[in-house]
Order: sequence, then C-alpha cells, then structure tokens
Amino acid sequence: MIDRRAFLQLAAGAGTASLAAACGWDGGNAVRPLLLDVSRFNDWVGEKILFSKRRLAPEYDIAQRTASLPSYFISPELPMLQDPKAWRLQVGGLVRTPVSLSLDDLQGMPRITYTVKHHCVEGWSAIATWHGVPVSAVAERCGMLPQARYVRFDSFDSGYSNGWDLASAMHPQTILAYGMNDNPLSPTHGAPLRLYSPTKLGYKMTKYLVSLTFTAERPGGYWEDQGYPWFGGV
Amino acid sequence: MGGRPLSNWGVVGLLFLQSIGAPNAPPPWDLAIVHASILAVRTGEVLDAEYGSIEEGKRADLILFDANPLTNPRDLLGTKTVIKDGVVWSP
Repeated sequence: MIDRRAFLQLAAGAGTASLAAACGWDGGNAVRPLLLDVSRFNDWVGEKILFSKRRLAPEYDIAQRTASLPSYFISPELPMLQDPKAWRLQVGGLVRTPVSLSLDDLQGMPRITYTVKHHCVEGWSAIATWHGVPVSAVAERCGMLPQARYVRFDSFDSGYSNGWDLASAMHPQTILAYGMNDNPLSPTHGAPLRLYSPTKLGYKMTKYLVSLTFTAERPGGYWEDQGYPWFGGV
Repeated sequence: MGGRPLSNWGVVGLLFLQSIGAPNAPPPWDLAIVHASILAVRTGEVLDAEYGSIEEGKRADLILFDANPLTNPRDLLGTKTVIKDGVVWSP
C-alpha cells in the first residue's frame, strides 16, 4: 500500500529545492524546468490517479465551515452586473438545442447542496457550503451531442475563462453554484453564477459565468494559457 | 490571502511564494510544490477512505495467504485466495 509519509517526503524533497532557490541560491533558473516537470506530474496524478467519475470528494459538517473564504477576480474592480434581471446563461456549442437560462430557470432544476473543502493553489484551503445545479443536468436539458468532449466556461470578469474535460464537468459534484453558505452567491464570490467542484483547484472554477459551450477541441483558459496545470485536479 | 492553511507543506509553499515577492499571479513553476502537497494530502484521504482497513464501505481488494509471506517470502507462491471488488477467487 502506498504510504502517505512517502508522498510527504516527495513533497519535502521538492520543497527543499524551491526554498534553496528562494534564499538567493543562484540555481533558480536551473530549478524551474524541474518544477515544471513536477507540475506536469502533478496534473497527471490529479487526472489519472485521483480523479474518478464515481469517487466523491469528502463532505464536511456545517460546523466545520471556515469563517471566511478569500475572494478573487482578475478585473481591476469587483465585477458586477448593471442589470442582474437581464442576466442569462447561454448554453450552446455541440448541443441539440442551445438554451438561454435565467437564474429562476437554474434554481428550478435539480438542486445539490454540499459542504466541501476548497483548495487554492496558493496554499490555503477553506470549507464552505455550496448550492447549485449539476452541470450534467444542464447538459441533459440542452441535449449535449456525443461529439462533445470538453466544456468551455466564459465569464464577464475581463474575459476570464476555463476549459474542462467532459468527465470532470459531468462529475456528480460539479455544479453551477448560485448559493453559498445558505445565502445567494455574493458578487465577491462570482454572483450570479459560478462553477464549483471540490475535485478541482480554485482557479478552474469560473466565476461570473455568462456561457457554457460544449466543444470537440480542448479549450484553453486564462491561467491554463499561462502554463498553469490544465486539469488542475485535487 | 486568508483561510485555513492546508498543511505544513502548503504553508512552506506559501512562504516560498511570498519570499520571492510573487504577486497575485505566481508563475507556473512556483505552483508545483503547493499543488504536490495538496495532492499528497488528498491521496492520503482517498487511501484512508477506500482502503487501509477491512470494514463496510471500503474496497474489498484482499489477498489471503495460508502462511505469512513477511516471515518467509516463498509463501508468496503458496496457496492463496484473492478477493477483488468483493469477488472471491480461490485456487
């Protein structure tokens, strides 16, 4: 059986190398290719070892919720809708029937609530409760075609977007969240609608959603195009 | 920045990012250590949840030996029963 300590020792070895670089050791440029290899290996572990269509991320008790969850967006100012009532989620691409869904439409679809741990690639984690509709239910509603292999999620946060593989998007815990901790989603966390999944790193969960597009080609993404892990699993 | 630190190694990774003055957008190579530490903890959670003990709800993947192969490795070749996904395979 694989031992947790062995994994931590692996992380410890890599950590020593990066700390040496941080302390002014002139080998920083030499270490970077190694770290990029580690990053590619990480993405492989996330997709091939940890991810499974059936394996669910652990859920937590409401009492374990973290006091606050850091918020994050790329626009210079908090992205907010001028006219929230006019907002619609456009669902299209490789589907039988493209649909335009209001928040009421989405809230009338199957609802999931879970309390899970959020993992940020900057090194913090936090527990919160999320409420939303499974992406798989949206795919069913628009009649996703068999040629669809990926999903592209677009936002109104200065063009922030993410690309997902279909298996991750159809995972039972992947939702379009309109609520957090028993309240409507706040603008700081991506109102009116954001992608959420406890099996992904935080930056994979597109906030301020405007569209969802099923594609045959692998879409890029805001951070993914800058070299961040594409799968981004945890 | 806030929330609960993931693990000691998550904190090390975070300190590393801060020590090199990484802004909100650390370059991709700086993420590798933190991501590895998250995956290490998650792997431990999965192993604990699905394997590691014999009880209801865990994966029924077992090999039963007639003798202890840890004291005599040759016993690895001896009579054994394999249980994979709960299905018993006897010799």
